[in-house]
Amino acid sequence: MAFIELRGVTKRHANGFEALRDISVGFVEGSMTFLTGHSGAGKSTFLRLLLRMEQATRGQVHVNGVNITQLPEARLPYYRRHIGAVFQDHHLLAGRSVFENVAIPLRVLGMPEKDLERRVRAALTRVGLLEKERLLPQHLSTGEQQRVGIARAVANRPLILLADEPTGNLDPELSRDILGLFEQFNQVGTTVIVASHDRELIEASGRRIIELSAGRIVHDSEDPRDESDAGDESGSAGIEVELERPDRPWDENERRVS
Amino acid sequence: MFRNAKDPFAAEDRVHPGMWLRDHVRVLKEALQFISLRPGTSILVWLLVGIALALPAGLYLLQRNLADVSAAWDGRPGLSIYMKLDASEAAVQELARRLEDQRGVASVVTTLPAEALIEFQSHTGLGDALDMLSGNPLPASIRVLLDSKARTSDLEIIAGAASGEPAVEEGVVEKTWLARIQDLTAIVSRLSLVLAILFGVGAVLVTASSIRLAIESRLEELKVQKLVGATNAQIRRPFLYFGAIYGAGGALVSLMLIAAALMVIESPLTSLFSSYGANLDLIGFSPSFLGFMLGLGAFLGICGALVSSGRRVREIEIQ
Repeated sequence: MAFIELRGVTKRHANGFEALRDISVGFVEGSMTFLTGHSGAGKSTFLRLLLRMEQATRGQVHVNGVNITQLPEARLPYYRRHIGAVFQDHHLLAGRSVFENVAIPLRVLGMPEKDLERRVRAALTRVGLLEKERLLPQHLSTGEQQRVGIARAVANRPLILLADEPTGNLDPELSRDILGLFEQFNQVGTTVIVASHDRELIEASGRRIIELSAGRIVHDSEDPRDESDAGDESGSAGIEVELERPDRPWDENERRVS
Repeated sequence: MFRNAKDPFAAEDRVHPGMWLRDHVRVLKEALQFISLRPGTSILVWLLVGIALALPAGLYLLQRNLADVSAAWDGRPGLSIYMKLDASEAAVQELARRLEDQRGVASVVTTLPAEALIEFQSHTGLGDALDMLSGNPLPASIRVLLDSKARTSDLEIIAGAASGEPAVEEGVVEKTWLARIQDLTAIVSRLSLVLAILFGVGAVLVTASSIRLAIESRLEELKVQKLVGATNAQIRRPFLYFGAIYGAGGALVSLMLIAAALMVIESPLTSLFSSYGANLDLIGFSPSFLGFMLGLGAFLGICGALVSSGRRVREIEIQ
């Protein structure tokens, strides 16, 4: 069974619009996939179903063997603690410093302050913003704000990283940098799904591409992931990275990739 | 990879006490900071809640003091039965014996005409004047005192029964000012209960509307918290603290208002009590009352927070 699997999923909104139509697709654990398609094709709805921000009208969504469409509301927060999410609008809190923004998911876990600081700084180091941890988001460039959003999404070492148009507001160079970050997180085992309409950028990545149109999958390239990429530590030389989720967030038996 | 292979998304099965306490301390600090950054709004809420709580709490104190006055007074309600002038001593004693058997009667004292005359002479000094009369003009009488558990209405029943006796001229119920205080206490007690309910609901609504504004002002933060896996209880927690602080602060204001009101009315009350031969000794404004009020205020504030945050928190989601 795939790590993430959609089985005959249809999403019809209250106004009758069908954002997704009978979607069946699977994602291997540790894979990186791009969802593409025009505006309104259903990319965002696809990701929102995986986050259980919306419920499928028909069909099932399975993650790690659990049918999340039937997940009780009370268990939903615990599911989301395994998912990192990045949006085009970064949803950073204007009144909180970069550090505090990244710390939000760890504070939700009640992590001890010492471990929290270490984890936040590791995430900020990974996105190259450690020296700006005290600044407010509005004092950062758009690209830097997006990187803070990514740091927040990965601070909790999620199993799955979902990104909805993360490069939508960025120029091509910054977009490649952001994409490079996602690839690095994928290389240490995080399953990554990125929704983007930037065909040029995603085709250059050589990763699996699923194209949506009017709520249907119209193209699905084979998963081209090279298994030898797993555990590839290139691009992070000299920087200590913590990405794998331990049994408990504050356990010390965590793997570090340097 | 997941902690629990059978149920990878199960809620944490162990609540780490340190984690729980840390979260509460952090949330309390945040709540205090949030309130301190909005002094105008906070003071307004405290005043509104304080005024809402002050009236029923003040009435409660009044009722306590009135009840205390009636309980502390050593006099008890009584009944005097005046016999006809020609009533025989045997008839008086017979009636006295029957009255002693009545429910609620503590004591029965008979005064025969001769005894009444001696008493009258000794109290009034009009002995010489009475000597000029051909006979004793004073009737025999029976004084009935009820026990402390008896009600004033019991007196009416006994008086009614005695008045029907052929040898009885008149039965006089001594309905004292104490009885009126008891009636007044009952009215104040019920009034304070009604006002407590009405103003308590008012305090809850004031807190609820203030917290609703606080929720809306932090909506973006709450959306992010929900996205990263905060439970509804975690999201609601700071607002419960807001409610408790608003409510307890309002209760503190109400206590200050009551204290000020007591200072204003102390002088005329002392004068009123003196006119009835009683000393004013206000009770009820005790440490336990202060603690109760602060607890009640915090409780009402938390109720307000639950009212305003319950459904709203469940609906929050990044769009």
